[in-house]
Amino acid sequence: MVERTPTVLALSAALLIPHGIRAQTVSKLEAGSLIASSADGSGVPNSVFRIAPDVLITRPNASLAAAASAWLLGQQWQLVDGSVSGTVTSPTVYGVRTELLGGVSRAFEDQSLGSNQVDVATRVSVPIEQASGVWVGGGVARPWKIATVSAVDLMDGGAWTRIGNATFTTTFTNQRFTKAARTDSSGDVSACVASASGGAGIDGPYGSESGTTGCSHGSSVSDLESSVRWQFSRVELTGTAGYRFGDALDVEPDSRRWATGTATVWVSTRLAIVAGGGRQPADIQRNLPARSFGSLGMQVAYWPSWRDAIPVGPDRVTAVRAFDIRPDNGLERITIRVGSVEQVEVAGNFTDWEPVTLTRHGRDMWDIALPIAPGVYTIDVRVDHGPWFAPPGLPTMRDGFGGQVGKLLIEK
Amino acid sequence: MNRTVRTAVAIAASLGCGMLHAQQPGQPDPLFKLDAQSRVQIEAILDSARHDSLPGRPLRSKAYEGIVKQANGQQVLREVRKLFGDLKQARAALGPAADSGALEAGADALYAGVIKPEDLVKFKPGPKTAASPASALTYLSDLIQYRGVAREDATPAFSKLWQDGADDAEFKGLWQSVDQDILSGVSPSTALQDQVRKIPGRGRGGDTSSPSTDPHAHG
Repeated sequence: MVERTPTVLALSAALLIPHGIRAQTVSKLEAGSLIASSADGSGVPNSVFRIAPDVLITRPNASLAAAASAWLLGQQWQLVDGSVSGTVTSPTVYGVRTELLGGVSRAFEDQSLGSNQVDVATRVSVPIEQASGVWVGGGVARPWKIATVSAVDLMDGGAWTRIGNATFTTTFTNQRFTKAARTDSSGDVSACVASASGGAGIDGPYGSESGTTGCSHGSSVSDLESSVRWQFSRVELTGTAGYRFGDALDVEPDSRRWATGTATVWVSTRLAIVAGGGRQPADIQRNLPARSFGSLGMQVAYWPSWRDAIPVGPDRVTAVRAFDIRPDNGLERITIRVGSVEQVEVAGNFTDWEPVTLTRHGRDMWDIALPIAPGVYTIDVRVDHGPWFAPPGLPTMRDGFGGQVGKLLIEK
Repeated sequence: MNRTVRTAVAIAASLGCGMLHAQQPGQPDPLFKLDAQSRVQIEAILDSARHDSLPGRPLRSKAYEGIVKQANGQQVLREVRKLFGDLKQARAALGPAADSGALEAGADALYAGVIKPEDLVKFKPGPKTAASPASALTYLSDLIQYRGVAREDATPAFSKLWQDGADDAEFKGLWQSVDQDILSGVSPSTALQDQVRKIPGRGRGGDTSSPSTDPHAHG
């Protein structure tokens, strides 16, 4: 029986939240079937119906994200994992921006393997010409409750660049940890004990002969991963491939390499079909094995947030991909391409700085036709009641109020 | 666990359907959003502009811009006052024949510090020039302020092109080409010189270095 009171309260809160927060909110809900298999068959059911909500709230210098997934096993739903994370971003000074990231996550699927975890990281990023960037960062992840590894120290770095409709990202991540438990071929978990010599040992066979991954003191694993995201019209394609460096005691042979692909086809402005598949590497922090998977489902959202693939994405203002103005039956038609937003406005001295709302067409095209005589005008754009900014592709100048304004030249 | 999951799913389903943002209604007479003291002083500036035959619309527009961008009254008053001063300087440099667009563009260039009043004189409309230097000054300001072109390179190049009769389309094309070259890694001043040379009939326009060996160049 459905509990009505908490459901009604939850729905009410969810509907009220957008009106109370002056921030951009992007959410998605994905539901579909998931087929997965792992070498030892542990922790992952072969076939399951999965639902995964995801929400991201962004403000100019901060963001808050929450995600979860649940599986339908038999007649019951099981919450598989959940996470809440936040990011605080500094202003860009001399081309450099810093971020402080923190999060809490939990895996529910198997109490003997799952863990709660808190992670904190910092990152320094340098955007380059608004179409690329590099970053370096470091942090720690501290599992608690039941842990298979001790605290994990992280260092990462990478670069991203946008070329046309494609965004390429390469990341390098190094994890240093001490393994606190190991899983043998039968799936049993046993703790590591310190040996008399000071190194970590195990109370059982140690080595790779049986194909298990044993305890290791001071382990270090590094991942090199490249990804590409390409979008055109109503189709988005993503691909990821990676390689894991590390000692054979820490990295299973079937977890050295991985590759995944996802295709999203938008059938309407809010509904998409999502298909994906590939191989995911082992999750060292939770001792989850590598697995192959295939998924097919539906997604409800304006635009899926793709935080993992672009850890240091461009500022919100540069999310406007294109600005165009051209004559249209005696008027001037302004067209702006930007996704992930609810509202787009323009203002300038041709509107006496009265904001004018554009009309959405499709997923990311907004336009309006206005009577503008030949001449030189000032113009700015804003999305979702955020800060005003100069449209891309126009000459700009300082506005005297801490920002910039675009200069629009309408020819005779 | 099931109740929690159902609640979470309910929240997620409602969030996944998207949100609506209430639209702010427009308000008449934006100057009344300012404090009375600032508004009165801005109105006085507008009266002075009328008295001096300067266009009032750019001044009022600057005030509206500040209000929309949530600047306080003192900030808006400061910018309007500064623009008024720049408009007067632009009028003195460009002469009484300059239209409102030219005065505004000249004032913007003076405000941005990309041009001195004595250089602005070179953009006075003349027999060979286009009707208004607004385009030339707008693109010149952007190249100096945001593309890294040195003022001592850009101003002579643009003023020469203007005096030689370059039109709005040529200035726009020049700006776009220089911008592309800079993004490709060419140094800003080199990009400007290279692109100026490519303009038909104006090869010597922006060359402030040694004389060109181009046999087709004028001069």
